[in-house]
Amino acid sequence: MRAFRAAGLIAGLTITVLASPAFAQGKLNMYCTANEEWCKVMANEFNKKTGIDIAFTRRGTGETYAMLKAEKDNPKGDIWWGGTGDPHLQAAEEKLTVKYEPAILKELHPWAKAQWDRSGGRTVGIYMGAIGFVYNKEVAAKKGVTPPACWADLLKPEFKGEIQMPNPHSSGTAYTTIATLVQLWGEDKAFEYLKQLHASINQYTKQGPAPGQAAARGETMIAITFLHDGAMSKRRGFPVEGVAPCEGTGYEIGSMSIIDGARNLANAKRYYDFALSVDGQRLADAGESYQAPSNRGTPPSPYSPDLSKIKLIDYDFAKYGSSAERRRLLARWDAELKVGAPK
Amino acid sequence: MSRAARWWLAVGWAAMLLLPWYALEDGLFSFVWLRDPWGEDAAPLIVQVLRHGRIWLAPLLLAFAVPLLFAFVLPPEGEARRRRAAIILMLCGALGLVWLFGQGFAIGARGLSWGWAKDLYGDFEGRQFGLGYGGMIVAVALLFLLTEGWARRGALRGDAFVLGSIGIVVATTILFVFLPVGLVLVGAARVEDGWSLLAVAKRVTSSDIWSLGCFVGATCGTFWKTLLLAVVVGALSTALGTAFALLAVRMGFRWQGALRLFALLPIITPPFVVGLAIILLVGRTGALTVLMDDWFGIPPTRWIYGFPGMALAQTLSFTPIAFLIMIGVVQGISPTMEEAALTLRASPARLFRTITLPLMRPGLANAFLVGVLESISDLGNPVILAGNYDVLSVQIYFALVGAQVDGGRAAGLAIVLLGLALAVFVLQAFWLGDRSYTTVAGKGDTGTHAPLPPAVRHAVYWTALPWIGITIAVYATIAFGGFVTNVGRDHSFTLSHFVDLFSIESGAGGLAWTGGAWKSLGTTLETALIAAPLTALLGLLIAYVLSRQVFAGKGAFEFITMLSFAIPGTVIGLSYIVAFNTPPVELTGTMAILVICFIFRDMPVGIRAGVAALSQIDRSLDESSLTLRHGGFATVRRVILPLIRPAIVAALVFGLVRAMTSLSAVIFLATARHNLSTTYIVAQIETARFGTAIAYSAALIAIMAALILAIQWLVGERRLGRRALQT
Amino acid sequence: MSTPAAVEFTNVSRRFGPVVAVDSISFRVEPGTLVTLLGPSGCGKTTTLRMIAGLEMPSDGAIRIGERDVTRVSAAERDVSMVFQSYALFPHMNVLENVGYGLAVSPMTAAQRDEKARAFLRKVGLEGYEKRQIGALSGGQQQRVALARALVLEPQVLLFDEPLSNLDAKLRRRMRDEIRDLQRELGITAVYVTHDQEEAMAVSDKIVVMKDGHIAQMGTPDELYEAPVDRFVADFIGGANLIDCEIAGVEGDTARVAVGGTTLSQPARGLRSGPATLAIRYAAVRLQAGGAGALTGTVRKATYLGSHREFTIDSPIGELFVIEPDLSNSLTVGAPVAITFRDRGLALVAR
Repeated sequence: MRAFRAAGLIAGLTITVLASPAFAQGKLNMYCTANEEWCKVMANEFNKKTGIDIAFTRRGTGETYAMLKAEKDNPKGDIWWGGTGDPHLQAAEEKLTVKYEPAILKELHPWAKAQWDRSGGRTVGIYMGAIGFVYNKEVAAKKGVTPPACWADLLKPEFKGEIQMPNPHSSGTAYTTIATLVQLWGEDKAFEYLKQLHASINQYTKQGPAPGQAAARGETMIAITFLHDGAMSKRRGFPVEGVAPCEGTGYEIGSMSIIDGARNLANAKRYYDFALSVDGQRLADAGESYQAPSNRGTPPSPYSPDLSKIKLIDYDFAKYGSSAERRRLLARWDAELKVGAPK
Repeated sequence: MSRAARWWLAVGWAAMLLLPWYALEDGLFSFVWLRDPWGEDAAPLIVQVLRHGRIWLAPLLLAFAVPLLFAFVLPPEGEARRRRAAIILMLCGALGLVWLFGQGFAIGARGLSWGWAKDLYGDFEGRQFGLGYGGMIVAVALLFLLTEGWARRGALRGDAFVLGSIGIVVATTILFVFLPVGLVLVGAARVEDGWSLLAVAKRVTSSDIWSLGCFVGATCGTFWKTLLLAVVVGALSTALGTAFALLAVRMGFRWQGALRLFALLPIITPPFVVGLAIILLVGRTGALTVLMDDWFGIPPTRWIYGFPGMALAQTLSFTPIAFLIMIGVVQGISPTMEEAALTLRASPARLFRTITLPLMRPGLANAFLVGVLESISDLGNPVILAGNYDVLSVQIYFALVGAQVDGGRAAGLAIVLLGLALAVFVLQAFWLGDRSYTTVAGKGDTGTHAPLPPAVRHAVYWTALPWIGITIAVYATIAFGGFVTNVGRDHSFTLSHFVDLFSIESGAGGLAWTGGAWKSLGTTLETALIAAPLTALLGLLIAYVLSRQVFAGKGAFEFITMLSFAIPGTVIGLSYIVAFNTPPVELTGTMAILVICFIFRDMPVGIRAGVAALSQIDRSLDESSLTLRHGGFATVRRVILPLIRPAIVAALVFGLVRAMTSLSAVIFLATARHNLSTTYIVAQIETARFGTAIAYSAALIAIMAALILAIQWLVGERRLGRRALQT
Repeated sequence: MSTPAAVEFTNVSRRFGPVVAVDSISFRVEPGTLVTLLGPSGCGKTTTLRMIAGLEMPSDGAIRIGERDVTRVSAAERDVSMVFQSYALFPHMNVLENVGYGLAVSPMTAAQRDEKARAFLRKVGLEGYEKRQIGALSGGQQQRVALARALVLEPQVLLFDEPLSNLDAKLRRRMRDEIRDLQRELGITAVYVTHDQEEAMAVSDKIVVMKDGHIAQMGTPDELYEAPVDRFVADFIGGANLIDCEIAGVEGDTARVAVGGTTLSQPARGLRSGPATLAIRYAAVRLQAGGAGALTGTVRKATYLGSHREFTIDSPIGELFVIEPDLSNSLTVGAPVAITFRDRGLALVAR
């Protein structure tokens, strides 16, 4: 009897599962690679505005790119919104995404439009975030040190073992950091610097956001990470402060692409327009995200790092985004730093 | 023709005549298709052939027509004819299956799938989608026709149930384990302009994997690091699991309930929460670290990041599984054998060493195997705690989704990982040998267990109890974190995390589930409650087949069942997307793919627990049941299952808990409409809402604890007709 | 109650990979009789029994039970039940549940099943033990439960796989008589496996002696004892001194046999002139103190066993083992003896 009841239960549940609806027309499936809150706010607002039943799946940028490749014969997503620009460019290169030329392009900042140009119209910039240092004020005070202001400061002896950055093999943030230094100083000097910095690094984390979180909790004093992540920790009440390096720094261009073979192409285009519009861009603040918006008409969030005070380099995305250059720089990084070797 | 054969013929015909052959956009149970049941989308097979010109499906009708001919028009008389009829049944089943999948792969949603086929039949117009209920049921019917015919020929003692079970487990394992994993692994041979075996060799023998540099001051290859961690974790978790099992069963420990709870607690926690709690406790600013600094002036360090932290977190996470496997085995040991040894003047120490310990071998071997496999496939703990200590699973993950994507390298690493799994598997099989571990025989057992030697008792106390201490500390941290504003920063009491997650408001339209967690919690519970029984069922069925039946290729099959367990979940998730995104088996975006992934990824624990339990049970018990009119199914139900209840509990608990806490596998499989708790929790951690993450985890822990109690109550205790333990 | 059925093997073989466990054997068990499969371990007797049960499938040949060809029929579908060497009682069930187990698939109600199970428990003398756990029974009682569990199905054929090997000598004798009585009373066909020839002779209507997967000889106990077909059977059944001899000539059915200087007349049993073996039962040797006679020897070993004496004798025809029922014949080690043979207890077999 007991078995009977259990069997009935299983059968009932099985039927409910199998009955769950599959993808239907007239909807929109978004692959979202920004933070959960922002995805949610965007989806809700879009739905309110258009009535389109939008559903989003949130994953990491690398994961979404891998997903696009895996699904390319029969794509299930319509639009890919958010995440650092390089994978979007790679997807464009592999024709996993399609070209779209909306009228709203002319309202964008030049860097956002440049992303569109580079990819042949397959992806567009939706926000920008600069790399910098995030340090824990309490740890710094306890140790009695002045926080770093420049890349060069990081080599000071008092920061030995107090700096955390991601591993460039696994994290786009770290790769962007290396490419930034190479563009600032030339390759040889950049690697000389990285080698010296290696002595002060306590851990190359697997994931890009990890150093920022470690700094927030005081597990490390300084993190090399995106400044807008520091802004979020700060707003969450952690004792952190962001610093833009005085020599100048690189940045990422958060992007958006329409997936090739999208089943809801028309809706995807409507979302594309919405996401670039002044109103759409304004939602970053509500989404607890503090990157700089790409629409010139949208003011940045009051919590955002002030871009006017950050010295940005002229980052060459075409060159440093290419697989060959990436492989070469990472190989050199391996060869010169020998991470994992006992110090 | 047997009743079962007739039944499957009827099922096949019904499916071909009535059910939609292809998968439906809105699902079968939306019944939208009933508006146009004979249209191109929803028509059953026979209509597809006759009206929609899908003539290539017609041979399937034949596969069901021919056996019908033999059943009714030319009924077989005499042994020779009966045998011929059995062969024809087999052939119809086998050829039907080959045809069903052959045409499915050949003709896809965009026409012919293969280049050469396009060249041959350039003007071919056919297109088709993934198999629907009609197609799936016909596939199952064909499979059973095949096994039914085979059984009639006397294979495997002519037991149709056993043969059918083997058929279904082998077929599903090939489809849901071998196929996706194989698709990933062949990537190792992929180079820019085609395929190359040399590339496989290069990728598999790369020096970052195998270097022995650490003996000369440099760094060692990832393989060795992975191996070291896996062996240490496997050994520690097995030792601790055994200590808990001995404490629970053999030492008359007073607080049984509490002991079992704490032994099981870590398994019911999402692994990354364990990692987080460890950081909060013994990280550089962790509570304990600060305490040590304040009281003893031990300066805070980051020792936890790297090997020690990972070994700690993994041992914490996997000890419960070892405990679940060992407790049944320790209970199963025959007291009479121990008494016999005592009467032979064996001292307690000698008795333990020469009788008790060897009899626990099947459990120890299987627990160790599971521990090693868990360790090498774990991604959650290494990502948080690895520091600069690289393991294969992490490298594979980032080769797939990192800053430098290289599918070939990922596949090469995965091959190395599986090689490691194979080596451990072979080693444990070798260690077990073909000795007999039967301790539950058909003679009843009147003895009582001998007391454990003092050294063992002390060892058990001194390992199990401090470990419980660590567990309590870790979980107290978690519980604490759920009720304070911001753990580590602001320790004022609050319920706001729980309110955010689980608030219910009564409004105009009745109750509104306004908390943020309800939807993901619902989906998680639903998938887990479906997946757990199926996981246990399949795992134990495979265990039964593996330990009780002899068939060609058994060893290889046993290893294949573990493939999906030994590979990091993310790789499995991605491989499922690759394998099941296109016809004939198109499952992406459904809840079914989540359930299937859970089943096939988690069943190995059921298999290992089942194999260990079954090795203790005398085969003559099943045989005597077979000669007492009970077929294979009735024997399993009335004799085997009641005797392996602890293994059932282990399989169910693991299936349930893993379905509720696994993260890596679901990253790719979960969709907007089927979002799970773990992805929700991770999103909280990523946005630094640790309190919410911890509160949700705490709620999950409570739910899982309740469900585990329910499982234990449902399955019940095993009765071995023994006397009660006296201590 | 099903009528007792014949069991018939026709050229049945069973191979396990390269090993041939049973090699093309044929025999028939008549309805209502008890036939024993007897042989040393590894002779294929247990495999043969398991093929009757359906626990092994033959590689070749055909098996019939009654009118039915069961060669490819699974165990559960055969009207056969079996008593196992290890009893194979279900430890999670009590005595009554064990006995009623096989009836669960019959159309009986639970009450009828219980009733019948109780009846058979009575038959094996275990009334009142219904609710006992298996672990609380003695070895003999467990054996009876196993027997009742098999009998309660009233099968066409009842199989025994060395059922008494776990019992002590005294209990074994009592149980084997009980088994025989029950089998006769119920008129059931039974096949019994043992490696103990005494047990086989005590319970069987017929014995099938097996060796290396073949049938060495099949017959009634006296046929096997009186007329073994070869050295193996002669030695295995009852035990015998196997002495080389020479058949000097054959007249009709009688052979003149030269052994160690004496000549005996023995039934020829199809043998021709030439070398042969004379199987001499231990009790067929007569010893007389003193050295005179055609055949003499010396006592090498003498043992007093209460019921009889045993001697080992060195003689020109080889070493002889002798059982002397006459306790007064007290020969001492080293004593010379005259050796003669009794009329019964000698058999000629091929060398």
